[in-house]
Amino acid sequence: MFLLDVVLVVLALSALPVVWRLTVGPTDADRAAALDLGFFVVLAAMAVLAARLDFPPLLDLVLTGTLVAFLATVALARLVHRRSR
Amino acid sequence: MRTVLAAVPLLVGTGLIAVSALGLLRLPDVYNRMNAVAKAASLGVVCVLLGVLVLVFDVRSAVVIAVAVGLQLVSAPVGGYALAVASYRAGSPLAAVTRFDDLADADADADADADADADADPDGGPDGGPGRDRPGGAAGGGSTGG
Repeated sequence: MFLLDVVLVVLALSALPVVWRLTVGPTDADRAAALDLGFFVVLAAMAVLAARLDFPPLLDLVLTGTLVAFLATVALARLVHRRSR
Repeated sequence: MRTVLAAVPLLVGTGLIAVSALGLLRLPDVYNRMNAVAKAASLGVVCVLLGVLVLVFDVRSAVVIAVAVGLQLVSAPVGGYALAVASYRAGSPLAAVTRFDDLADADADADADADADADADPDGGPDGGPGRDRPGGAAGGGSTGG
């Protein structure tokens, strides 16, 4: 499955800006946005791994991770809002 | 054949996520970065999920992926919007190229309300925090409707 390997490598490369923005992001909102994208990258990689390893139960993890990413984003929004005051 | 059919959404989704990561790296302020993350990356995840669905096609995976795609399409813009509004109200600086700031008036009104609340509730302390948050949220929702 050469295609899936290429996709995984591109996803790993697009996780590097996430780490960079998490470390040097000027504000907390930048870090929250970077974490949001990090969740999306991990979810996409998990879905690709479900096909690459031929292990469909990983897709349940993707479904759960979508909900966790949403809740984490909303909680981070509350946190960014609260810490500013 | 199935691999070719799956390659298109997989590559499109991966490209969208890569472009979103590039935008997170290069765009000038928080709101532009949030825009890249909330739209391009969520659409990229949806495309990758559809490509995976073509590769592993059985009923159970199809149901799980359909629910995941629906939740992603509903929840990602809501989360991005909540984060952008929170960072605006937290006072994140706008980029120098920003020309329109429609939230400025609504935010000033909300601050006036918050000050009025703070005056009416002199003990402050931990009780003041949520009390001051609420009128701001109501004013923000009203301004988007108008």
